[in-house]
Amino acid sequence: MKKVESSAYLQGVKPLLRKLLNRVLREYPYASILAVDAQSESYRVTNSVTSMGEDGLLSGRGFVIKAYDGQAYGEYSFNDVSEEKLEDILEHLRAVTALKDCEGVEALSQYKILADEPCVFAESTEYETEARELGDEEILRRLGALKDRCMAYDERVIQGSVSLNYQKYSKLFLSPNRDMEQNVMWTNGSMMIAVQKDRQVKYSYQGFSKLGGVELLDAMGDAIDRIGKNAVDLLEAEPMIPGEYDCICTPPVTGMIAHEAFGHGVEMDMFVKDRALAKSCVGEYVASPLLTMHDGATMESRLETASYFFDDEGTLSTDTIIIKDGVLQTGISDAQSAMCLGTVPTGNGRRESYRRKAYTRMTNTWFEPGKDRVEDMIASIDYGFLLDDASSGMEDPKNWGIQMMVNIAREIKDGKLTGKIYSPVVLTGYVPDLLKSITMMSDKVELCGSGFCGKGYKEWVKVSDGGPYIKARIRLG
Amino acid sequence: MGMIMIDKILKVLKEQQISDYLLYDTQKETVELFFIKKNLDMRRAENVGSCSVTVYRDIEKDGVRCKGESVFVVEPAAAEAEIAAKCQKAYLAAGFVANPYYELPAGTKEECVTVESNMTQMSLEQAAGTMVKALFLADDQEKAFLNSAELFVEKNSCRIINSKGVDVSYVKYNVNGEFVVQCKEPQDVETHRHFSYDHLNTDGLTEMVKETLKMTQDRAVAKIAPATGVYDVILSDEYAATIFDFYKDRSDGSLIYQHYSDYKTGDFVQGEPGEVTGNLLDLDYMPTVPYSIEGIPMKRLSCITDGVFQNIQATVRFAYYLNVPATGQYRKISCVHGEESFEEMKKRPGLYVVNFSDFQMDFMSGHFGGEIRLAYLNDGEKVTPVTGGSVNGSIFEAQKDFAFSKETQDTSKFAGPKAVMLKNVNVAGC
Repeated sequence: MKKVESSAYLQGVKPLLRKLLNRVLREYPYASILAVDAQSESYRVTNSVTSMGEDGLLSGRGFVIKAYDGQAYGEYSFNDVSEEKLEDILEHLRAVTALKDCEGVEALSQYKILADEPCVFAESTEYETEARELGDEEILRRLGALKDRCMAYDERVIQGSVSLNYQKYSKLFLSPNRDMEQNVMWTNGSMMIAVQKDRQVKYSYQGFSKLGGVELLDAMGDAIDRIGKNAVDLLEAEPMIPGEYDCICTPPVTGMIAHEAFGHGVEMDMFVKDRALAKSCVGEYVASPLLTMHDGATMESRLETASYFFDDEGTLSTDTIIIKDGVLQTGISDAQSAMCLGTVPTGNGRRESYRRKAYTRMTNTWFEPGKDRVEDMIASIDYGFLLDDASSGMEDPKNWGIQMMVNIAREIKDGKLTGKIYSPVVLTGYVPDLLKSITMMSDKVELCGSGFCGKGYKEWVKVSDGGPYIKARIRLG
Repeated sequence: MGMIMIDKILKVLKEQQISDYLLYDTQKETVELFFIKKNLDMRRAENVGSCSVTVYRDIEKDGVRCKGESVFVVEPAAAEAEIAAKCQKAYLAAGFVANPYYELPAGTKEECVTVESNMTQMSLEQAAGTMVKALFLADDQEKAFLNSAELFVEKNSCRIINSKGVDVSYVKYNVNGEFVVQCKEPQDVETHRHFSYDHLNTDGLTEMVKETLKMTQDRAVAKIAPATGVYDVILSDEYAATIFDFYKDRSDGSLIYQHYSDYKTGDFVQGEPGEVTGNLLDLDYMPTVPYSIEGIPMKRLSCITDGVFQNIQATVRFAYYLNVPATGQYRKISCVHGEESFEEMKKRPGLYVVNFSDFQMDFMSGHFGGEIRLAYLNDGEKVTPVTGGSVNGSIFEAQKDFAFSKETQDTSKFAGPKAVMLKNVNVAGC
């Protein structure tokens, strides 16, 4: 295993950033600079097009200054820095912090100064093979071979699409007492097979992820049969008959429940705004006593694409136990929200990029395993469904309403899969009802970090989620 | 990003004898304000530029002429040596991307266009102040109130240059954001809305806040989900607009070329011609910027007329493959409104869903649906606010009998009927 290298660019510009920070600190009681150098490459091969190149959303070099003016915080994001531009940058920051009142606004929020305990380190994650070692030609060749196998799966396949992308980022966090550096690399893959019957097009998709390099490619081929079968089965799928059923959720669906249904509800910037029901439920049973839930980015926890050493506010990452044996323990927080609530920040202050504000965001979110075997779980159901192919979900922290969609519900009758499938399927209901209804959990945890999470409809950050297979009572439509 | 960086990139391209290229250079300035209740909680600004460079390479694969391409991004801090290294890598990589051959469009240098807006004559800070006033103007009610809001005022400058003489640029302003309305009694509920305007639409924003305050108060008294069954469902505003995304997506040349869409010019695409009993589709592509990302001038263009597909919207590459004119990709579509008033529509028995937790329209399967946060159930005698359950429909069925409202909406994404009624849609409820 190799360590991800430091950014030579950030090392070169660091003395200038320290100089800028010192200039800012002459006028402001506290300031910090987050510097980012992110590189990425995306590769995609389909039956009809091939593409590759740097991904503008995942690449970028830039900086954000956060300054405290004695009352509140202001930020300025920029990506052009030089000795000559320091005064211009300061002038922009002054203009931002001069915004104190507008017609209709009652007051500027009053915050204290952020804690700034001394901390100096440089850390890197590990990988086996970097994209440049394998080479663009070889990566495209291997994706092309996987695509050909997708196309050959069935005569009804109209499109096979295989992609790979990675991000390698370096971040520096500088404040009066902090000088922290982290270098992280994650890689994602995806595979999609689309099939057609009459005018109907159906598809199945699977994401792949790894905190590491393009060695991820080795694992992708094994999924083709599963994806192809799901796509072909979907051509015969029937609409779901609405009702409440006993269900087995596969790990990706479990992950979507952990992340969308519950995780967003414990983001503590929502507590500050009085937007989360969870705020009033700490210490109460919100789930089955079988259930323990984590969110954490530490390297000692689950290593996935959302693992890091410190967040975008310079807080060290932690592993937070959110639910312990069914009882809600705490939420996760960014530094400013923790300050408002009088709690300890959990290292969940994350930005989409240096260009965006930090919010409380999840990292790797997962349920601990149970002791059951999947076959016993299926055998325990008289009539119900195995839910697979998580497709989308939306949070509802205020009311804990469930809004999730899965692509496939496989019918279970008398403890056996019948082969009949229903699609698409909307999961609805009340989150604690679903979590309290969990009666069985399988003995292995699987996480996937191929997706991004938005706050509402924006602010996309890399996350992973997962857990074991779970058995629960769920309302389907 | 400015002339210096563009000149540096052009110099590198020339030195490396790269004859086909496209530069997409952007500079974004913003003022961003974040509110918790009526307090200004955080202030931000951004001033960031970057240039996306696509290099093309004509290659031969198995005796067939192909065109490869690869993209790299340059930021102001990049040194010339670094640009040269990125460029060299991208040109090499383009040799492995053997797509069917196509040609880049030729063009000329044009004057910079400033997209008309009432924001051009003021600073971003002044524009933000105007919209903040509009945001809080209707926030004067006892039960429902603005819980939090975010406002982004943006100035986007863009320049597009290619190796065939295209050199066009424009400046465009936008104001967008989101807000949450909360009502604590009798139930503590909230509604999340987002907005995006290309001008200071103060009246539009105030009206949206006012509507949301009312709808959130109604949700606070809604206790039950609608009974499971089949309903005539009314969607309005952004949800009505989302339905038309299906046609915008299916009209896209890249999806047609890749067989995800089977649209052909001249085909009736609203089901079978004899089956349609409701409003026929009459859609136009609407430009939101003067030029596409490849420098193609964007004009209003017919998409579907009386249910018949008229024009594929396509980037240069897919237009070449499909042998149609390159139009650029459109983000906005318009639809001719109907004859029935929105009020009359709401008087008919049915379910008017005003808020979903998330509403999805899948362009491939034709499925639309979402979980109901608030709907008004008209059972023919009375109207009851309901919450919970989900809508599940197929556009292939629903399009046979659309009813469009007479009233219209105009946002940065859609111009057309404010409301759409979809007949006989499955609703999973209690």
